[in-house]
Amino acid sequence: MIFFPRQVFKEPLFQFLIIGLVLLGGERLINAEDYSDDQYSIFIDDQLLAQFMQREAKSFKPEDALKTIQGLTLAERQRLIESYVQSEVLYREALALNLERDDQIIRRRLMQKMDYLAQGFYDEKAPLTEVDLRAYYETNREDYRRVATATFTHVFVASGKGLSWEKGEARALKLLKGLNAGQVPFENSGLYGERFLYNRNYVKQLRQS
Amino acid sequence: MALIKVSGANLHRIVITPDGADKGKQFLPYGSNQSQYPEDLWQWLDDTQQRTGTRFLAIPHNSNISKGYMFDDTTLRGQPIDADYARRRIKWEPIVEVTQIKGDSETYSDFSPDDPFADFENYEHYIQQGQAGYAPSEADFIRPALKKGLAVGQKIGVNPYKFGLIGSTDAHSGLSSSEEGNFWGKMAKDSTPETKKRGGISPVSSNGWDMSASGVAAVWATENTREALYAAFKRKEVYATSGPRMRVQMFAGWDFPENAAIAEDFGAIGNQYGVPMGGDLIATGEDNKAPSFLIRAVKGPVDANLDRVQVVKGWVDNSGQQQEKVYNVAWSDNRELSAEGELPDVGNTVDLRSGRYTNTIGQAELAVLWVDPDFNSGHSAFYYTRVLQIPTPRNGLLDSLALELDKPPRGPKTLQERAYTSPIWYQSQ
Repeated sequence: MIFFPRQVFKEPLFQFLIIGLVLLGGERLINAEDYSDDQYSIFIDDQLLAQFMQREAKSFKPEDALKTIQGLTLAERQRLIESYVQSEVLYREALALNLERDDQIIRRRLMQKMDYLAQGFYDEKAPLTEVDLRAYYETNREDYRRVATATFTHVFVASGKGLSWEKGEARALKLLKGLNAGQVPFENSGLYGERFLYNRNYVKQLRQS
Repeated sequence: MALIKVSGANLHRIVITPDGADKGKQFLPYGSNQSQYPEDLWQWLDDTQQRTGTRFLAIPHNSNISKGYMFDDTTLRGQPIDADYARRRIKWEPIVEVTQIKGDSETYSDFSPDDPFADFENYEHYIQQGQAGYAPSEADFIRPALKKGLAVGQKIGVNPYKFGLIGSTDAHSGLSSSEEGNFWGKMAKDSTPETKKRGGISPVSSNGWDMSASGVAAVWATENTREALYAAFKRKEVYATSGPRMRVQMFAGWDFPENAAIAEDFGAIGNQYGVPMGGDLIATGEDNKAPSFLIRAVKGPVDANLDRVQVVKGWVDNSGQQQEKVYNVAWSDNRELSAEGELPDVGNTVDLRSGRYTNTIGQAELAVLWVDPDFNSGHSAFYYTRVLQIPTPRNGLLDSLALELDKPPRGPKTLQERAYTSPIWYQSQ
């Protein structure tokens, strides 16, 4: 056993040495992860390979992917593993160099993720009752109004080409009277009037159209 | 090498499928960042179709700024077009977009000097902003391409450019607005009159004043379902308009009844006695009678009247030269056709101070049963219909009025909107 003379403890150099050792040891303890051997290992299993393969192929069908992985030959599997290892190493080295900092694309992606997360939160209130729903409906009735539509067939009477607007209108009104009096069925509209440029039948038309 | 050569050339394809999410979630789309070569896209479509059962179509678009590559004499790799390439191309790309916000791709006056209506909505900026020197090439436009397709087809047995036509906006704003009076720009940034100049006012920069309020894809389908629309695309029974909701029908055949053009059951007659747009007329060899074209165009219910209906024909003559001719076949206002087949202008009712026009000229409907007067049964040919509206105010004029400018900073004040049908191909024996 070695005994130091008391003076040694009073020596500033020795004191600094002790403080240095304590600091170094403390840092090692606190940041143990950074010094672990784990960080130099890459763990691979079928699940991970299946995910990697789907991402690379841009083709997503998890159950098929897992089956494909399990059916690979040794050489194929090795190639896939190497390709994964290479991507993982690149990723880790980039992180080690802090390349993710001050990157607009990564910044935007993180903001997007945060946005999605934020959208997921909501105030948990008491479930709505029938009374609440009815009250809401009454105050917002207009939003639930179904606009009236019209479904019709028509007979087109042309004016112009020697027939004045007035005469055309008179002819149309006379025809309308006759059609209504005779209760001419819908499907016979084509037997009357002139060819129309557009449709003969219109289904569920809104007022504005 | 090739990568540098084609940079900035628009060779984009729009890929569509009628299938749903069950198939769609099995793949991520193939991007032009993965390969610039269309053959690689077709291979991916083929592989993905076989793997997942998804059906696809790829639609080349904005060819007017493809720097001469979209409809080239060779493949993008510089190899000669062979029958295998041609077959794969028309299998995956039966439809081409002919008109959109970044200009019209029908033809250019350099390649169609006898067509007074060429140079419609020319757009002379490549994708790289600020790059000068737009140089139109025959390989950028659909009319020269349709002709080239006939010539190549005669050599190798398959026509690589046998495509139908649609229009689309290519808007990046989520708003597919193609009306001059209700146009929301190419991007969100150029969507209002005040913001049109964003993008730069130097002559080499494109900005909102260059943009065309175009186009629409019209489909003749038996019902409004994915299946029916996809089937119509596959058989090329589609057409393009530069925005208006014109209804255009075209059939070709040898035996149409005399009064077919004014018949009530126009479509039924067309299909019974002829083939619709996108179809083929095969020479029977029995006689060499010229085919007839049964065409009817109706203006959109709230759009401007029609000026004229034209048939554009392209063929390869005996000496191997590619030829084209534009025929006026139906027109409004009892105008007289000259001996050369030219028609006086329809006029222009646009009031440049108010931006309004009237339907006092033109006609709501034009219809005709037309026979090709120059038919040569030995020449394979294509025929497509072009319908012109009367002149109406262009989006730039309306926005310049809103901003109280003297005139629109770029582009014409008025334009004649139009429709292009898919061609019908006559195949000689």
